[in-house]
Amino acid sequence: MSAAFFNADLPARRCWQEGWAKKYATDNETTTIIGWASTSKGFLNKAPMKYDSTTYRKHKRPDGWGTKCPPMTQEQAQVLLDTSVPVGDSRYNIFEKHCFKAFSHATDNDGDTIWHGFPIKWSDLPTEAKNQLIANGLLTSTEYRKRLRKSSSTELAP
Amino acid sequence: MNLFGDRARFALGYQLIPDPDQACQPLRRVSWGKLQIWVAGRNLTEGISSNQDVVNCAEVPLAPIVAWIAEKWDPMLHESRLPRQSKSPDAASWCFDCFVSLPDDDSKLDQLLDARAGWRARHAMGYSLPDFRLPDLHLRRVNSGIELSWNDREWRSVANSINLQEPSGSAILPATEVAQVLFDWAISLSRELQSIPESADFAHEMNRLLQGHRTAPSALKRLQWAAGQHLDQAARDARRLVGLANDDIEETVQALLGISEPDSAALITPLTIPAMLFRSASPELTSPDLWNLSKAINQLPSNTNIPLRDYQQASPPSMSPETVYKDGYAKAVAFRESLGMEPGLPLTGDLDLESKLLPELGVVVRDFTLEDKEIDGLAMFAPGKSPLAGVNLTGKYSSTRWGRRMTLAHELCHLLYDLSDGQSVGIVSNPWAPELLEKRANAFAAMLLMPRLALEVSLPANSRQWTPEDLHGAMRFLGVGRTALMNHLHNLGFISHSERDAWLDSI
Repeated sequence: MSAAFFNADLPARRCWQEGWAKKYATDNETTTIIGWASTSKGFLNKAPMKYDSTTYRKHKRPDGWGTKCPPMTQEQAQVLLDTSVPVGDSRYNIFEKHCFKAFSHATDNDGDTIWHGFPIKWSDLPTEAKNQLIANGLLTSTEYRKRLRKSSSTELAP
Repeated sequence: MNLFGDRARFALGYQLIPDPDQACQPLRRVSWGKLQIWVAGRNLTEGISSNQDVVNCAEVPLAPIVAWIAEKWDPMLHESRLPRQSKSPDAASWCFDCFVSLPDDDSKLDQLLDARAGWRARHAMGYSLPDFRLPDLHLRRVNSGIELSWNDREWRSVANSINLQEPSGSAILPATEVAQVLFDWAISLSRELQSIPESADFAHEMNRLLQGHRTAPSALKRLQWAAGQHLDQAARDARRLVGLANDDIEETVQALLGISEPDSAALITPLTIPAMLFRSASPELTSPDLWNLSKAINQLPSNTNIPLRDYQQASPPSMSPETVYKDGYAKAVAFRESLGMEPGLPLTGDLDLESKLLPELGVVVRDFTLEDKEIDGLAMFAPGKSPLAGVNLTGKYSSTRWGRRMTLAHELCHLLYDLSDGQSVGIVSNPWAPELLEKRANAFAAMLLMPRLALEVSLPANSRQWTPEDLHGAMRFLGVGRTALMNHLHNLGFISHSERDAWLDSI
């Protein structure tokens, strides 16, 4: 494990106050906290953010025109948000073969920002976000090129 | 539904409805509504939901679309050149085609992506709502028309609940008509939003911006978008050359763009000939080339007796690459007929294109020596002035004897059919020019110089019996080169693809 991670037992709020954030490992099934990372590494660099889409359902209706998130748990969504990269007012991340954008639609009583995310077209991922994701090890240039080609291919989507 | 425009041509509709959620931003919530987009009788917002129900309108927050229209008005309706050279038939197709061959170098890929994102921000309605499956309607100027194109190919890789029934298509409609529909739709919606406290400030600002586009437009800004932003640099270079300070280039840019009158109130600004010429040339057009072209425009001789006028007819190209060829062929056949030419006679000798036909039509032929070798020719026409067909002596094709004839026939097509605002023409024939106009002009040139009957007269009926001497004889008879001849024979079905390649190798 990288030297950047330490003290896995520290409470999350205190970690945040001290400038540290959770570092996760995820696969298709589970999400595991593997330690803490300095926010200077880009894992978290804003006030605490909460992922909550329970009050934001318009994308999920069968006749809704919003893009739909693939099945994922609230915890997975929170991890995606925590490890996302900021560009402007939005944040971006990758999950499986999907590319996500998140924006804050509210603030709760604690002053934490409430976020929801949605899948976007790969070509809508800003180059600045793409390069940050590559630098953070969340995406490779090869994978990105593959997704760009595939998403604009004349063949039907996978 | 409040509908603006004609559904058979271009129409936009909206209806504000309650937002199914209460948690999103106030402006999005209060502007939640139904949206319909109609182009050429096709409802782009018709889809099948995941319940298999047919839906005939999108439901999205409408404020971001109003903001996009108000803020991108000038580039959206005046800029036409794509960020990269392209063979794509329309702007929506280019946005996918540019990914077919990605640059190996990461920084070049980033440049392409940034240029594409910038283009979409200015021209693609879908850019305003990336979280909704809004039909990605692209709008860009093509002469006096607006090209409307859409393609949902990329959306197929993003999970959503709606399958659009009109996945791709395109049309060209008069610019003033399209602008009026956009304006009326956005103004009406802004007024409705002005009465809602949460959106009153936003709507007031949108109303101000939109009214400004109608009552106080800047012709300079609009024509700069049309010509390309490289013009500023060229103006700076020009001022430096003559020893002027570079802090006020506006006057020079105005002169370059041929703006001589004060701004007039209008939703759309007609394109000047310089703006049309520069928008079809490379964005890296050098200052000497730019000045060469500007000089040519200013030196067009005055002439009121122009026989070409009897044959000119503004005719936007067909939007399909397949049918645009046929359009070019048909126009060449019709043009020959209207001149009373025998269909089997070549344009040589007494009917020679450059020395006889073009002068009889009043077309002035002028040679240019441009630094950009990708330019083969150019066409310019302003009412009251002689039409000009230019040949670039450094051009890749136009510098050869037969290439020169093809170039002149190609430019004649532009002069005849690619009339823009004010019945003027301005186009530089090179890989940056509007693809469909170039394709049609190529087909016109081929059929004008090589009509089917002339080919049948000059070659044995059975192509398997052709000899190299037969083909050389046909080239001399018609006054064309081997590549043009073999491609035309292939396109007309005289020979197969492999026969064409074999002949190109052997003659």
